[in-house]
Amino acid sequence: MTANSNPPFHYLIAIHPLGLLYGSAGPFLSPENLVGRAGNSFPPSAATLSGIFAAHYGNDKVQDLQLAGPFWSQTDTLDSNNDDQDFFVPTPFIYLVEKGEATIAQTLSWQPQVDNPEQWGWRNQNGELPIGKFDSQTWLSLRQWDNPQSIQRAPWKFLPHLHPRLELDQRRVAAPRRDVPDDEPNTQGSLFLENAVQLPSDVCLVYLSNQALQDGWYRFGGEGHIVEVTCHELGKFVSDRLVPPSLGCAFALITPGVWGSNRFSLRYPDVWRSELYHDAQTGQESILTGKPIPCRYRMGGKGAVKRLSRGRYAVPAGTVYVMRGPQPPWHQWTSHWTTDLFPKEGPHLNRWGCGLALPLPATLSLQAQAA
Amino acid sequence: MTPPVYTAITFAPVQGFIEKSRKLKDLYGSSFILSYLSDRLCKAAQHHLVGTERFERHLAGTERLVWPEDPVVSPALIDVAQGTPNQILIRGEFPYSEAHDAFSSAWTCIVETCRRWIETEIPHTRGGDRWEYEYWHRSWQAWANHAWEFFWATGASSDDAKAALNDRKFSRAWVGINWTGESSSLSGIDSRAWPHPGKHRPYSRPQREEDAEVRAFYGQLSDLLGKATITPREFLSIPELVKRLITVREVVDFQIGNIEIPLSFRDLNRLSNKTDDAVNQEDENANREENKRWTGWFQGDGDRAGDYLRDKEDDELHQFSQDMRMWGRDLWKHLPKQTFTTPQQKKLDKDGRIIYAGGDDFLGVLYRNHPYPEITPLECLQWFERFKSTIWKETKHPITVSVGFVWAAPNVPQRDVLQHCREAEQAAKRAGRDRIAFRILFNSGNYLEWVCPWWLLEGDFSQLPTPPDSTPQAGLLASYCDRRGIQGHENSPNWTHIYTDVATLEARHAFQSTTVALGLIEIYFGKAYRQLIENPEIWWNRDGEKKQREFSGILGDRASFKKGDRIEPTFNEWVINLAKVGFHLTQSLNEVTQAA
Repeated sequence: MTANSNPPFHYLIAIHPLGLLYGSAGPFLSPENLVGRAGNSFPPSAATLSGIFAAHYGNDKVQDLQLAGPFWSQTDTLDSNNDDQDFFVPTPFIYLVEKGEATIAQTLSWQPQVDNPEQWGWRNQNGELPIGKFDSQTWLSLRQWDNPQSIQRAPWKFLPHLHPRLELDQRRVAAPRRDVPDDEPNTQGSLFLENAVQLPSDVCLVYLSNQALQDGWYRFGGEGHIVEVTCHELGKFVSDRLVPPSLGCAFALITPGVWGSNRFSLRYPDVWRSELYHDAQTGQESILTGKPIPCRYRMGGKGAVKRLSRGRYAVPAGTVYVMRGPQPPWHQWTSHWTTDLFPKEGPHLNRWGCGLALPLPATLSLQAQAA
Repeated sequence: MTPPVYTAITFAPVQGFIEKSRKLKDLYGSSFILSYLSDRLCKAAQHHLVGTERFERHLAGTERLVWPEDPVVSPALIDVAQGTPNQILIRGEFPYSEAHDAFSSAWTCIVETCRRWIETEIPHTRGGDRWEYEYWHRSWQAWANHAWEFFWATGASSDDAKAALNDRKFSRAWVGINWTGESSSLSGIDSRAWPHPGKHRPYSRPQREEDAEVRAFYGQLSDLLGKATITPREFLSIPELVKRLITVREVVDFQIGNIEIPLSFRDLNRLSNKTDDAVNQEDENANREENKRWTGWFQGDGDRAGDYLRDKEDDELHQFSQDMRMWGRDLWKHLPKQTFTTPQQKKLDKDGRIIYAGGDDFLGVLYRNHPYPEITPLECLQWFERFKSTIWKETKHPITVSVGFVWAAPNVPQRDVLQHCREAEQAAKRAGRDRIAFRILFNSGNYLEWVCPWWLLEGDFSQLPTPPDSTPQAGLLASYCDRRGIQGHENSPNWTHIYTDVATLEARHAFQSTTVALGLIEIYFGKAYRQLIENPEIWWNRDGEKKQREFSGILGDRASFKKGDRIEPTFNEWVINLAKVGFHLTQSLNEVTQAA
């Protein structure tokens, strides 16, 4: 894919669950790998939605598909004719919210340390190291991006859900097969635990797309859960917000970012190495990020049915980078480093919105530039 | 005079590393590895800062290196390496390169030991072909180099060094190891380890062929180590395999010169490999997978230890660490005693295990294996009814403790149980600290939870702000009295009475004000408890000027209830959960057997 100066997204794809959604993580279920709370992964990644497009339009027509997500929204703020079209994106890690609170208590920025101006680091608005425990995984309204006041917590609830596995030919729960040798795959137990997710009725999942998807009912996210999909045009406000003229020096990811080589996933693309600040003495880098999240795409193998092929690790959405110079907006990131970074066996990861970045408010960015 | 320098070191992941566990062995393995790495770092720091000669005399035991000569402020190095906390504070400058070298060579040694053992013990496939191990060297190498994030910082005081260390963690330091092919069956991420991962060619080789190869390899591993250690259906990733193998005596004996397995871990192996005890042999002690029994898991740690230690002198930090580690070392002695003994059994055997106790952090499990009857939740409850006052008191420090206890159904995957443990501990902290959260976890993944301050559970009314007219005779749960007037744990009162009452009243939306809840308290726990509990003074925590806890209220911090209207529903909820959780916790063996 070459550098593209056109706005990448035209539509909001809204997913309204008809019942429960699927929130388990991991590639398969087995008696030894019952997927419960430990393996929850929600909301589904943009790659999952990509599967609906591919199934609906066929593989050829989705070659230029561009998606990003996951996000969520209140159903009444979806309409593009409405001036308040909006949705929630992951809160950048610089905004610290105390446990149980809804307001932002501290804002971190990359700045010189008070007692040692030679040395830079992440400090709050008073120049201090933040003390306390803060909430992770909160969501921020896109309309508040430049001037964040309050955050939202995820509106969904996990409901562990026990499924009996029925015998194929009889209407009773299948018993584990003791008569077959251990190394046969046919020794499944009779129950498996699904990590179902319940969404309030006035809330939907939201993804960005450059192609429309016909409104209707689709299977989404595994285990036969059905959702209603509605497709909305992007209003001017949202669309302008997503296509800033420049990222500036400080920006945050609103989708997970996958960087690295074929063998290793890294916290930032190699081409940014000289752009980030590295304190030679302490090794401190101008990144604010979290633990790696496993990330796997159903792409690989020959034929129509693609299978899981390569597993990678992503930096979580909310990650903040501070660079020495202003960076081009996400949709103009040149192909030379995306090509270097993403393995040849699949499409570029930016097709699924990998590392979709938005500029942080100018005040924070300016401080960085002064460095 | 040059200012003093302190070095702080830590590494990650810790919780995540422990959590990916299927068997108790995995827990031991991961907790051992973490402790071992910390221990190695501490030793390297001593070596660097006191000089080779002095350090060698110390190692040889001719001259002990003790505080305050010892440069390691915390953790205090006592004679067990098990449970060494992973944040290390050193007085003096311990350079990054040396620290990192010591750390990575310790880890590489573990990884290499496991890899070589496999290659030596399983040179051929069952068909007699050679396993082409050269294919997997790159993967092992990647894990040797990139399994850990390593953080290092210095500062002019111990608080500075610790703050600088937290600073480093903002940008993290991980490198993810990409994987190809199928994932491990334990965690669902990271590729399964088998001799030919480099031969993974989805385009030219059928999946079935590759799967058969992997199964054959795990079959061989299982034959060699026994099904109790690894079953042929498990496919583990390299780090998971390392965790499993490191607890196996044969593996570490292979190169015992390089890895010093602490005695307690050798002990574990001896127990599980006992050949004279046929029962233990088959039904391996450290493995709950085969045992379809309920088990009790607890995780806890001291409250606000960081606040307590802020601005303290080195001597005090070291003393605190020393006391906590001694407490952790001895914690297993306090586990409930094995009540069913056979002549073969050692007197010291306990109805449970401590998985780690690294200072003020601890994780343990209460269980009893075949052929002895199942452990009952009541036994666990009774153990906790004296936990704070008798066991935690021995830490000798005025900080309180929060514990999460999970009574887990047999089929809940272990890593979920661990996650629930952590959540339960968090629930206890969130509800105001200095208390225990009881969680009953069913196979479906649903759970019930009730949080109770220690004093109320134990029936210790000495800290009450204003003493009531008459104090109850026992702890809250022990004071339960059913409708026939039967009271106390031992007489097995019928908890169904309160349980069904609550269910009926809930269905009729009877819990509007606190009247109904208090009425239930009076009926089932007596007038004295009603008088005590209806007094809003005991609902709230009281902290002294220096944040030290003076009294722990049943609903926790007053400040967490900004809107007054949430208080009564929360109180009602507390009584409802008391009835539900109390019902499950007080089941004794008879009822359990009848129910099954």
